[in-house]
Amino acid sequence: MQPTLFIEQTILGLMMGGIYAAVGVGLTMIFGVMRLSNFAHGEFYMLGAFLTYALVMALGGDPYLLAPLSAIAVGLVGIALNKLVFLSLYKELREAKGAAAFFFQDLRFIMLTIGLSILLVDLALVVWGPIPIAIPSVFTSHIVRLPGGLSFSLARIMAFIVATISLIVLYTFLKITKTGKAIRATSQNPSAAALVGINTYRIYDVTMFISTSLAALSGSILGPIYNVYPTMGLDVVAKAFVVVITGGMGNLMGSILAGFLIGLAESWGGLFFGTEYRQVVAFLIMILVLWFRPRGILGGRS
Amino acid sequence: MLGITGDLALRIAKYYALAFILLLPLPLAGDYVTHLAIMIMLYSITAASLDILVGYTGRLSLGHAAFYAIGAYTSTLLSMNLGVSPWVGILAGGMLASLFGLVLGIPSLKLRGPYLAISTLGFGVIVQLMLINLDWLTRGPLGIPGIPPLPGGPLDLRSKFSFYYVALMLTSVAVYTLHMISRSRIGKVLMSIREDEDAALSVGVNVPLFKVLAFIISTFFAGLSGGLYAHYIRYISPAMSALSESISILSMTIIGGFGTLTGPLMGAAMLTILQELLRPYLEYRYLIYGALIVIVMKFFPSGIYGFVQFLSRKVRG
Repeated sequence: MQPTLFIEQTILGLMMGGIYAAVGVGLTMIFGVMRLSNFAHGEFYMLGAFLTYALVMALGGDPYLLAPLSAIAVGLVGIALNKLVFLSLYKELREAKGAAAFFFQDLRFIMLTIGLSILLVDLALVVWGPIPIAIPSVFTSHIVRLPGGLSFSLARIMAFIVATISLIVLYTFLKITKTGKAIRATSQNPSAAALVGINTYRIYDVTMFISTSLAALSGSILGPIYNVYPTMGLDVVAKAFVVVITGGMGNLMGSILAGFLIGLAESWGGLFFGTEYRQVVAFLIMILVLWFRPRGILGGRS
Repeated sequence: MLGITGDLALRIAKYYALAFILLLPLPLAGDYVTHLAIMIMLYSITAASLDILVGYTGRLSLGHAAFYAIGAYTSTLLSMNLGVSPWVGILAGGMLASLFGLVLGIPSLKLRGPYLAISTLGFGVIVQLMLINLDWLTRGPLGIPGIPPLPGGPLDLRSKFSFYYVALMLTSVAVYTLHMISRSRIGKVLMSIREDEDAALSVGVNVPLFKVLAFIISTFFAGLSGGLYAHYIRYISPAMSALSESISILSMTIIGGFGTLTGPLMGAAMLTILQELLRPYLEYRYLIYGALIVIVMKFFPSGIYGFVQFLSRKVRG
């Protein structure tokens, strides 16, 4: 095998890993704070990409500039759905007792998010149609050539940079701001957090906003590289769950690490076993991690 | 001893016999209705089999369609390549599916909630990729057409009319068997695991054994219905193992009302008919489907069957 190809695939894998990390972090935050396995997470990724496309068409300009706008809009959709669908159930959940009750709640929430996912995919189908769309960007055609015969499109580099910056911003936000600390407190122990005066339901809204807008941002910045289509979120949500479980559910750093790990493994797996087995590689890693460290590489909650 | 269980069995058997007789004249309504009824029955077996795992044992599975597909491919390949009778093939399909159920069940012992959901989802994806990529065996994404029909002696089971009666008989037997399992000691132990695993363990229940057993039973019946499907439609493809199929089966089980067995039967019927009714509104079909799942789960978490029970209690006062 050519060493150039190997290095190129390694770098591409790491770049993809950055996106996986961003999508995974949003998913793991929702689980950590709200105990919600959000199977509709990929749909926010998809909505973000489509909104960015709509904005580019309406306003002109580059998707990389308009992505934050669409991320905020999708974040607001996330809050609205949270208030509309989940909030009353959380109030109900407070009174639930016993393992079976929790299982039923879990199942109910998972089915709710699956229903939302089906609904949102079809909504996108009705509005934008089934044909994959490419978001035009000046960065896609720019190829950056590095010494040693390596070359990457500027769009990929941009996507990686945006993903990394958003992760750093989020990390700092959670570490130093008051709201960030409140989110972490709610994640650690919701009733204790409520006891010291944190409005946990508001924290749920904030978490939902961060999580969905992060997913939307990821969708937007990948839009110019891959195509945008209604079922794009379904391919991503499975990957995102693999990342989250590998890293430990509810563990932010775990998800970031696992995002890069899975990105890299997929790239290498595609190189060694053929691209048709890329997806299997990700699942195999997850199964191995579950076997040897059931709570993920950095530990998570059950 | 025999008295109680015998009485119960008799009572349940009466209901099944009644339902059986009521459904007998259905094919007179024409081919379209008959086809729909056959699909409902095939989905009923699958949704009811998933209920053993989800409703009775409390293990969420997002990969149940994989077992359905394994059953279908096993029976198809055996009958087409080795000339095995499809009847034997269907049984072999069920057995191979339950072998895979065992393989998935053992590593899944410690997993629950979202962890189990994603592992089973991954299993479904892997099975689908295998079916696509092992094209020397499965013909890849093209699928396998021209599957032989079930041999029915004097009956020609290529016709929907006669297949309907065979399906009705087999579905009754399968659902009745699942029902008896759920009412037996096995079913009660499974429910005790669902309610409180640690408590079950502390009174001496062999929890791992029964969890794996739930996987084996559930996947066996899924495999059977997959085999039946293959010899009925006579065309199969890797799409049978797709996540959307697993979700559709799970929706039937849960929207119908899990942990009841009757619920999944209602769910299979309602969702299959709903899909047909929504066919003219092609584009908006899944919008309505998704919204229905959200509404049922938000307002009637115990499903349609739970809602019917609630209503009948209201009526009786």
